[in-house]
Amino acid sequence: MTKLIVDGIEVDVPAEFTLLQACEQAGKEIPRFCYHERLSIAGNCRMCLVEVKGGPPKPTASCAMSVRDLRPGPNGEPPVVLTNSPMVKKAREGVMEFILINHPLDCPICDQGGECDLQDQAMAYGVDSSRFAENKHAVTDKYIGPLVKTSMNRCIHCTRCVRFTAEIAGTSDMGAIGRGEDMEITTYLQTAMTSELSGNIADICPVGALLPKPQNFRARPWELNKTPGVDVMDAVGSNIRIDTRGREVMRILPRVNDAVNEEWISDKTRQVVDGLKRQRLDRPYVRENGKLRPASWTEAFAAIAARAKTVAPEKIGALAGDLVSVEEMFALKQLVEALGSRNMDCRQDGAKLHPQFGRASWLFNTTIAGIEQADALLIVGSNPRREAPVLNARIRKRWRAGNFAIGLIGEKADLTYDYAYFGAGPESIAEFVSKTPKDIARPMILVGQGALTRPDGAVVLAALAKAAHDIGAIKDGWNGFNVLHTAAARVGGLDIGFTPGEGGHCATAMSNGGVDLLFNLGADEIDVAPGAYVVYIGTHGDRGAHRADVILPGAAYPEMSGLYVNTEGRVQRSDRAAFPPGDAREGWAIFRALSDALGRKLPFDSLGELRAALVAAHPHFGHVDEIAPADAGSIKDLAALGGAFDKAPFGHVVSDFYLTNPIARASAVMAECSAVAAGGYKQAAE
Amino acid sequence: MIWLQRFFSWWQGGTWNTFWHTRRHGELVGHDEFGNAYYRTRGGKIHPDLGFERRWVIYKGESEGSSTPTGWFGWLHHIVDTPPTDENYQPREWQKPFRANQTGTPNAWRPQGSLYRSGQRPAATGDYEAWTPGS
Amino acid sequence: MSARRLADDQPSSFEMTPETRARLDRIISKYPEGRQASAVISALWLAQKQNDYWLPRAAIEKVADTLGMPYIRVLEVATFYTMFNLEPVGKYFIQMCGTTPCMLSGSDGIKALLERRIGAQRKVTDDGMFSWLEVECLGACCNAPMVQINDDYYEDLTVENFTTLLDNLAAGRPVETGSQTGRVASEPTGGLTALTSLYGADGKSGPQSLKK
Repeated sequence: MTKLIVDGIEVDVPAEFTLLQACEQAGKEIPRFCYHERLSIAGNCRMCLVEVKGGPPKPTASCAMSVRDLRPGPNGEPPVVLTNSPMVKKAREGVMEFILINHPLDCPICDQGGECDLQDQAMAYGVDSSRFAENKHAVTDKYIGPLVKTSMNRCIHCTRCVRFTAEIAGTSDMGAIGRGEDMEITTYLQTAMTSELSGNIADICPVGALLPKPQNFRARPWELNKTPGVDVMDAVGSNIRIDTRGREVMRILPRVNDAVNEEWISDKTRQVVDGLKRQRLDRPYVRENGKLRPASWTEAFAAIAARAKTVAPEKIGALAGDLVSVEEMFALKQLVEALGSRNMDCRQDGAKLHPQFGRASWLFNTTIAGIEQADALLIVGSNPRREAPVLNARIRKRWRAGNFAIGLIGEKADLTYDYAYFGAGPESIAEFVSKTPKDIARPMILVGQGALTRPDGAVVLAALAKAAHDIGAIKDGWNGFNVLHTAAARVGGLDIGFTPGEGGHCATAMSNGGVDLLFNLGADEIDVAPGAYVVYIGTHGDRGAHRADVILPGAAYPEMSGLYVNTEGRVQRSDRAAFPPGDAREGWAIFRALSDALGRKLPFDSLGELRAALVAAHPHFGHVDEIAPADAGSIKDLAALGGAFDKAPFGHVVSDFYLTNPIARASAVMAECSAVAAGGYKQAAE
Repeated sequence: MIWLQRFFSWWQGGTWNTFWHTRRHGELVGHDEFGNAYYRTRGGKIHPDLGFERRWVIYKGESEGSSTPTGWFGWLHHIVDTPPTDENYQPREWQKPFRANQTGTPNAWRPQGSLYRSGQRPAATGDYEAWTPGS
Repeated sequence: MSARRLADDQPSSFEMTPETRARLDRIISKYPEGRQASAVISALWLAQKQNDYWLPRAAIEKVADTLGMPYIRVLEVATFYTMFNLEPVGKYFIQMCGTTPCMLSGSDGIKALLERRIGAQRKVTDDGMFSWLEVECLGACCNAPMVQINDDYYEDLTVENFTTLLDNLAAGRPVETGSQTGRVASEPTGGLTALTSLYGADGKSGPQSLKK
């Protein structure tokens, strides 16, 4: 620890801190453009200049100067940093004047206006007029993909976007070509960016040079209501901020949560917003004579009740989809149980995870932040880049830090980091175990859904649990057995036991004629065979709605308050940012009303009462933002199961990253992204 | 009724005073297509102060100044001396026929960009595209 | 310095000759494993030499593939350094120094001659023989004014001897590199005034002209 004095405040900071961090420790705000705490230091904007005593006798870029580079005074006095001296103010004003030389003064027509670093800092350090009489330079706008609009005249060459794509995203899409005043930020020959995290560069851009293209000229930041939410596009549970104007969701931005998503979100999370406005189910429908006709809630409930009377309890079933909240599933589970059935499943992809194996068997036990403590990683049957881009960025972060061996069993893919390839199918697990040294302190195994959705998924799961034991991934204080989910609702569903009870049918059996009355809660990735009477409760007119006999319109994730459990088992609450369209209602309220119509009234009248019942049944749901650790012992039991597996190679579960769920499939932006991604690297240039 | 209105209002036809003045000094020149009656001083008597004859109109019904047709307007304002009835006056194409003020009616003028101009509600925040069953 | 961007007309492909590839492999082997990207400037330089002194897009991509770098990283380097020509140049690519010492010694005359004889900067003559560019100091100020033609320096230029030089080059006659006035290295033009004899323990040190 090193002592230094910042504006008369003495702080004690680690020697490797930069002056900027030390000043923040002292509560002093340092203006900056190029410095970003999650990116490497560039030191090219010069806005963070400070005056130091015990260092160079000139204004010093505090982001690039380390505390250990300062020397104490002749009598051992600690070094002094001044952040508001006249010299600092003049230096920063000079820097600001240079930055503004080539920056257009088009704030009134710039979407960044109101949330622009340059605008804010010009209030403090800008001068009222320019002394620059020469021509400003003009830069042509670049095409860099369907999600980010460029306005390159505004670029101040901070290179945050270049560093983000090179370091965090790992695709090195952006670069600065040319030199001096001809320097331009662009992708290689204006191709579209290939990263699934590309939208983040619009966030980190300190000016209006990179802006989210779909939100172009739609809203001003000060007219938006900001609601904290949780993303459901993948199982990472990224923390998001849902910005609404009136009842319309205008955009989705990341919220900082170092344990989950740091401050990044995937492109699907960010730009799926237009999917919330298309193909919406806004009124109940009832199928009559083979055709769906709009109906009232009463009619729809009456139709269901009439059918329910004719169906035996064991012929009633329920399916839960990938985007639903825990409360919805809990209410549906109670309803189905009240009707006397045990047929329910939240695993529409047929993953062989089951509560009987213990909670540790379906969690990402290491936790996402825990990846940074790991020493080695084996990925089995997963493409984390497509299934959970933000989590993949965390793996890449650990890989960049060095001394991190990564292995892969399954389909080869560009994961943005190097890995050793062990094979395509389950027989490679044994080979991996034999080749792996036993003295790795903290190894982890990441099991993807590609390994679990196979018919022999349970055997593969057991084999991997055994492998985890054999390489020492499970020990005191370290659980290296991780399941990476792709569905936001899956862990919550398994936690509340939304799985077939004794003698109950699983998803595959239910969809293939096992039941006569099927409650389908937003499960759109499964085909239900003809015969069953399907009640679809969902938000979008997707596969489930087309097959349905009764449609009950529900609320999408920004339109309701709900609990979600991410792949680590972290319980997170999302708040309501908007209202469901038309006659649509929140899922739990639909089931409460339906239960009345079916004569099996559920014992709650409000979301609060429902949550109380949920917490009473499953106490860990009472601890929001926390992970209830799972007992690693169950993995040992799982490992003992054994069995023979098929030699078929592991497949992938996410073939098109941009179109994995009904909301994304309704989004025009996601469709464009998908087309651009399919067109490959070379296309999409103007 | 018109004689009763003449007591209390000045915006229906003329007042009693105008009526008497017209009876004593006026000379009917003609009527336009709306029934408004145009008068001048009897025999074209020159007004001593003005230096020309006086001309006036008594509206049929509500006194709406804009309803004077263009031909009669010229005569009334001493632009021409021949009343349109005597010369088969043809209005020019840019001289539009009288149309009463439409403010407050469905035909009221809506400037470009007005929410009421198209008769359709413009797209608003919160609009969504509802799904409709295909076949 | 005007903006440096890729040329409009690009060859469809670029392949390294075995000699270039061998030289590049030798350079790459100097760097530790995983640090091949350090050889990017040398690699671009070799590619440029092989391709008539200019870098097409295909060469940039070839270098990137060889070194395992993203294309944009190599493009950044190629567009940054002025020694990489991104457009075709003449068979004799003349880089004329116009910085202060050369200017004071008469580079304006050289420049006028080049403009008269070859035309505008960066423009290749119709026969493909010449193109020229005014560059910043090339570090031969003692022998100003000077030009660099391809890999060699031509110094102590006057309008007359430079005209002869260009004539000889155009006609394919051999030319003398270095000083065009017969001066040895950078010795004084008026003959030696100090150190007029060889010296040193072996008597071999001293001005170059005395060693002949």
